[in-house]
Amino acid sequence: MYAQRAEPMRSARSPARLPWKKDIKRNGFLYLLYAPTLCYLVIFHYIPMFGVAIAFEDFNIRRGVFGSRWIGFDNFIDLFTGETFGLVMRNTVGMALLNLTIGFIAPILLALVLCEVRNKRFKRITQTITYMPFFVSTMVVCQLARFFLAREGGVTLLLSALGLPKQNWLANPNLPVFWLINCFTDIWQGTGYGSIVYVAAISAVNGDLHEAAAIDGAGRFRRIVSITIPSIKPMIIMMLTLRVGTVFMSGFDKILLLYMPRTYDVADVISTYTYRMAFGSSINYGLSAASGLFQSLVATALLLLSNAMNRRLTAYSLF
Amino acid sequence: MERLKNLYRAIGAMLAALLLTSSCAFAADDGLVNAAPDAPESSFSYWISRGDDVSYYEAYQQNPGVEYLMTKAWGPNQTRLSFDFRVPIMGSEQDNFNTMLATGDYTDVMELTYYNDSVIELYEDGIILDLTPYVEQYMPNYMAWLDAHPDYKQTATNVVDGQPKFLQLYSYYEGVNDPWCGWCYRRDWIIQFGKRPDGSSFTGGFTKTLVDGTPDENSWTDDVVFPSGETYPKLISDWEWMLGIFKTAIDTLGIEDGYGMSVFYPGFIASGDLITGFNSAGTWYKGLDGKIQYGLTGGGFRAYLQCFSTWFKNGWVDAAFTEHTGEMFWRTDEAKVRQGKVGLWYGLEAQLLNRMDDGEGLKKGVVVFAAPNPINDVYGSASERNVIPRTMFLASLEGQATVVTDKAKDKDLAALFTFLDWQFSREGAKLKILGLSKEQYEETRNELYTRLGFTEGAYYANQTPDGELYKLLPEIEADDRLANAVRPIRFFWLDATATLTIPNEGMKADQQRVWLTYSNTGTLNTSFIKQLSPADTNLYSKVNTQVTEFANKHVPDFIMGGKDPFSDKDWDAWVKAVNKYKPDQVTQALQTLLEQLSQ
Repeated sequence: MYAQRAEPMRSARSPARLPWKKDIKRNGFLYLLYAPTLCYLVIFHYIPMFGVAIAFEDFNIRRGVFGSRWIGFDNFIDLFTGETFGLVMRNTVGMALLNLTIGFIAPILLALVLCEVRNKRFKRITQTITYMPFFVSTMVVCQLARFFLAREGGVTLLLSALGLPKQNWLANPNLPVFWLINCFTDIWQGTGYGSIVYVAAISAVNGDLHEAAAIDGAGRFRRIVSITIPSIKPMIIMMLTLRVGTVFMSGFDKILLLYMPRTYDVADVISTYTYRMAFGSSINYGLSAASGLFQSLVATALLLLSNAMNRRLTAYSLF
Repeated sequence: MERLKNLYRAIGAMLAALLLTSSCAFAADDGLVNAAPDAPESSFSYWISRGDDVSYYEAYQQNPGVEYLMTKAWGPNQTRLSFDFRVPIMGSEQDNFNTMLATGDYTDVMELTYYNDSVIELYEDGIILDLTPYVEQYMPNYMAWLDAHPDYKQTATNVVDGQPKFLQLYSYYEGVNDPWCGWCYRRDWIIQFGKRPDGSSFTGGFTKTLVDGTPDENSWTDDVVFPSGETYPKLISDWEWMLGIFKTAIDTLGIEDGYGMSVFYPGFIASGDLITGFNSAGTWYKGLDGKIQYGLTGGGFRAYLQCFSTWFKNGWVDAAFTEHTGEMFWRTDEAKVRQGKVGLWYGLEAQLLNRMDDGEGLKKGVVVFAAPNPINDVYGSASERNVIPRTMFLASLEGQATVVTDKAKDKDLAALFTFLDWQFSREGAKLKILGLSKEQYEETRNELYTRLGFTEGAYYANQTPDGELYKLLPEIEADDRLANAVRPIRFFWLDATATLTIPNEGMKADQQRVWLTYSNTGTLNTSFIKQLSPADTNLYSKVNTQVTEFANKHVPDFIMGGKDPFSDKDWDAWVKAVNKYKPDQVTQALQTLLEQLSQ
């Protein structure tokens, strides 16, 4: 009764589309404003795309893209037939799923809670404190994680008090210990910053709805479930769609800094695996490019799939 | 009028003679001639991987030695050379080198430290020059050095189309310098907690103190004897005896987070070292029969694992060794070592004797001695026992490689190669390792030397039974950064420290030399591996990367008890798993190369 059906995010097309020449003539200034962005995209994002050819070459840095030997899919075969590629894929998907579930929900929950705080001073202080980890470098985050999860670290001592064995948790080669460490360090670092967009969305929810619901006797929880969440649903869908596209590729630097040979089997993801294989005794740019291309294709596929599913299931979609 | 002209001529001749005499009076006796003011000039860009502290000078061409050499005349045309040294930012050497090659903006002369692929490919791509004619014509000193060292001469050239060619020039050491790292152990713990077979205790300590009240490190004496009968731990059984003592020490002192021995995180050091005493290595090496062998699947490595798994079971080694990733093997868990909680470790010369003793807590009374790589006398079969160590991290005479690129082909290469060759002369080596002499300083009045007050030169000479030998001034010797800055050591060199300098004396130097107890005859030098064809280089690189990764992951299982190195089943499974990466193909390629070079 309290929910308001939100409009799909896709903007309605203008009823009468102008021929492009006329459009440029009429909105020339707007096109001029857009031109630098277009140039940037073309120069720095589209032209370099020809470099994906490296993935199909025995790339030699001296000979360049055009001079290197074409080897077809050999780099991909090398990548997929690697001894531990199966484990690497499992870890990549596992950590991605954790990040997509627990990691994605955390900022939404924080935003919902923050918006229910009545003391504005407390709310601002809390927001500031939760944002701050986002600005801490990954190197420092990893060092903190090492420190807290070491045999005598604070988190380890806390877990020991709860009956878990005293150990260096980062060296634990059992599933899903490393996955959870990776997920929770992500949450610690990104939840505050990630909640900004949801706090903004919640602030834009029509206050009359809450007022009417309150008059009708709805409690806070009921109002959150029936008004706030449906109202920010388009935003959630948009963020989820964007996140699905990047989740497969994230975590390289943190995992590289936190894992060790003993935990490779549970911590290695495609990017770290490729890094070691491609930049070992000598540098294999082809393998690295093949891995990058593979991840990009998977990410694009996931993005399209997620968008399509969202459109079908919720009537909201990014494009 | 004629008389006046004659007078002018006479005065001119006298002035010229005076100028010549004064020049000779200041000329350094290094066989070099000053470049004439109107001498032809030739300039070369030169990529080196490291420069010096910018607090001394901004560009490497301002190095006192380089400045001096740039005033001289080189080659048949008496050319004045100038160099534009390009030095990458520390930490970005590899990127800088790759970018240079990829963009084609590489220098005339390049150090190859950060080049990992086939050097023959560089030649075939036309990037580097065939140096053979220049080396043969203009580098008699370099050739003489190679002739005197046939093992190194064999790999100084690359075979291209069946012909040996000098594609790169190697820097070399005249002899093995005092090493800077090796095995270290707590001698004080052996005295304090060790017992002789008859149950009596050892005695030892410093007998003298310095003016400031600290013990004189050269006054240490003790009566420690290891089970082998030696005064140092020679055998694995000596090490086991010693590790037992360290366990007693740690238990007695109540060091909860202490341990007997630190271990590099993969459980082995690939260069050999501890494994070599078991007649194996952590990678490819030259076996006792002179053939190339792969270490990780041999019986020697199994014996090594049997040894370490036993030590782990006995509680002698760091239980958390796999967690010290990102640390070099000569700095494993260094914080704990420096806190006085470890008995045996691979450490640095700066930790020897009483250098870690600051009089506080567990560090009080620490005395560290050096140990050579031990010889296995306990584990494995007869072929894995009592073998003299021969593959180790230190002790190769080979330094970095240098190439000359096509960018320099139209320049005065005769002058360049004469210049490079002079670095291999006695005087060149002296300048390299000792810096400017008084005479050389007076010729250039180098600003840095003047500023730092080294107007008498950077070193002094002593007559010894072996002839005249030299030593850097104490204030230079004591400061590594300064010592690097006053000498031109960053480019192509012959390091003659072993033959030209007065050897360091005292107990610390003696201890450092313990690390040189055995010669490195089994390690495959970089120059040898660089002889591989481009295809074999790729194969070597790929297999090496994959098998190293596999070993780093799974060797700890054998040590920590996940797998049993005494079990044939586990060992066979290991060998099978390693062989999946086909290290034998690389062994074959290296063996073929070795045979080719031996012909």
